[in-house]
Amino acid sequence: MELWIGAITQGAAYALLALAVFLSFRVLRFPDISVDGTFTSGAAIFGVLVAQNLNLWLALGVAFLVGAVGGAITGLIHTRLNINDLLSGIITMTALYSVNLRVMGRSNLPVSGAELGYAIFGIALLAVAILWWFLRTDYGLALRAVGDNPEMSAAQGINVRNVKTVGLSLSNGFAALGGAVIAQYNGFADITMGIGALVTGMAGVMIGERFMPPKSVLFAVGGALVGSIVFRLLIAGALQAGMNPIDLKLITAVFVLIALALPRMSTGRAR
Amino acid sequence: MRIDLWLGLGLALFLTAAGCSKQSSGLPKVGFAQFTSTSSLDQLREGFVKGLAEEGFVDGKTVEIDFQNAQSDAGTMSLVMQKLATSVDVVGLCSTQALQAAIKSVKDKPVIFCGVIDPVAAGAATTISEPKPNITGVYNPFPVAEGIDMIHKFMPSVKKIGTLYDPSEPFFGGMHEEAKKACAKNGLEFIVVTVSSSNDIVTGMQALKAKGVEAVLQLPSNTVNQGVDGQIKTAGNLGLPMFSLQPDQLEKGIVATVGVDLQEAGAQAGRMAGKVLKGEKTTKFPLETATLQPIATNPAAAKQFGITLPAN
Repeated sequence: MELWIGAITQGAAYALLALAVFLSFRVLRFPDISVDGTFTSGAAIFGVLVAQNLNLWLALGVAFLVGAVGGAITGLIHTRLNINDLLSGIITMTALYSVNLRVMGRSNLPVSGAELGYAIFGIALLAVAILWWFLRTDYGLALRAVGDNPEMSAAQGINVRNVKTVGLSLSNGFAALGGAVIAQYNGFADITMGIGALVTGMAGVMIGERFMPPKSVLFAVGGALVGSIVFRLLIAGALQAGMNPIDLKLITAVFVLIALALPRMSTGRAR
Repeated sequence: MRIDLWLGLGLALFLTAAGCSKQSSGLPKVGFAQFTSTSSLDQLREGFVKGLAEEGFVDGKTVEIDFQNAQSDAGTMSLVMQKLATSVDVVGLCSTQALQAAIKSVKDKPVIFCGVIDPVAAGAATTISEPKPNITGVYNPFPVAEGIDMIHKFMPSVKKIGTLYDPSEPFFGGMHEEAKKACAKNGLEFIVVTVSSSNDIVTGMQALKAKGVEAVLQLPSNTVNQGVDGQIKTAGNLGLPMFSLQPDQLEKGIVATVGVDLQEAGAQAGRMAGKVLKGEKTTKFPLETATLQPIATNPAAAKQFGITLPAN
């Protein structure tokens, strides 16, 4: 039972990462790989601050800000220096690797201190609510417009460069917050933990879209939360199935495939 | 919301549940978790199983061992520990990340670790003599100073010793500082070249050569271990004799090693786990260091680099 509760809690924590990827990849249509760096940055700065007995919530806030700065850097590189979107992310991610090592002072840090426990759900729900609210404000609408059609948005008087930078900044803030919550939950921050963050986040977003078709903003944002939880449940399922540990990732992949494809096969209905 | 998709998810999880409703064998259960697959961690695992067997717990006959591998994913590592916390009697593990996940998730089951360099830095103990009550195990500090002395003995004219180093690895960082100190004591220079993946090994070795290094003492590193065969081959081409702190690498073409036999270190932890399984308390076992093996040499490799080995 603890395994399943653990998986759901972990899913809620990873939902912050999925929300980050949703914002950059789905809303802005920007494949932002800097989350691979900012996810670890959040964990690193959080671990260091908690070790210095800083208040837990304050440390989470700082983690968010650090991630936001990382995202802003990607945005500025892309919009001011006219560097390709993927490449801007790669530049930030690469630089952050060294920065993260510097911050932690070594490659792995135990994270002790107060437990977040079920507050993780609160944080995830709050993030969903904030993003839901934000995407329906005027600025949020501008953000969605920039993702859909930058030329048209510019013609409507939207400052595309600023809006993109702010969007990426917000996205990476969420990623870093996710990294911090995960580090707290796992009990350690590790320099390798961000590798594949973009892919993990995407998995959450896309699984979520299958379960909650993005017909409204709330469904689209909530889907990231649901998708992340489902993804973690499937990993827990693969663990529970108790086969050769070497096959774990293969089994996880097969479970994801079954969960997504089986209903379609049984009803023979095309989407 | 798509009802049929939720059904699919339910079915996938149901299949899992069906798959795991295996008959309970009534045997005592031991879990063994590792963070990823490397030859070092695999040796520790094999040793652990051997150690358990020496205490009378043979896998599948008198004990059921649940092997888990998080495949380098920190999130999965936590889930693995949550599973073991409720399903086994004793949790065995190797690697620092596994230990940290266990500290967090396994509160009331005995935890026996191995393959950890610094349990204090990992958070498992406040000092070496004060581990957390349910945690004990075998840690392996690496004999860096002995390694430098060994090279100095075999190559008295050596001035510069080097190593490849991946800064992303947990707790290996202190070792090259230690090596620098040991070198300084002998009037030598220790040179570190950074690699960030096993793809950088060949370039790294060439950089060491370019910096005037005459012998390589490869400090333990999972990244470099993944490409150790290539490293030894490159060292041969460059005429750089290689030394290491991992005795299992000797036959690959390393001139000499001094260090811990990882299988034996795993077995030490396995025997501890066996005793705990018989009912003894973890608090009875202080943290142990893995036993150091004497210097071992590879005469063929020594000859290749024109090194004369002392008679004993």
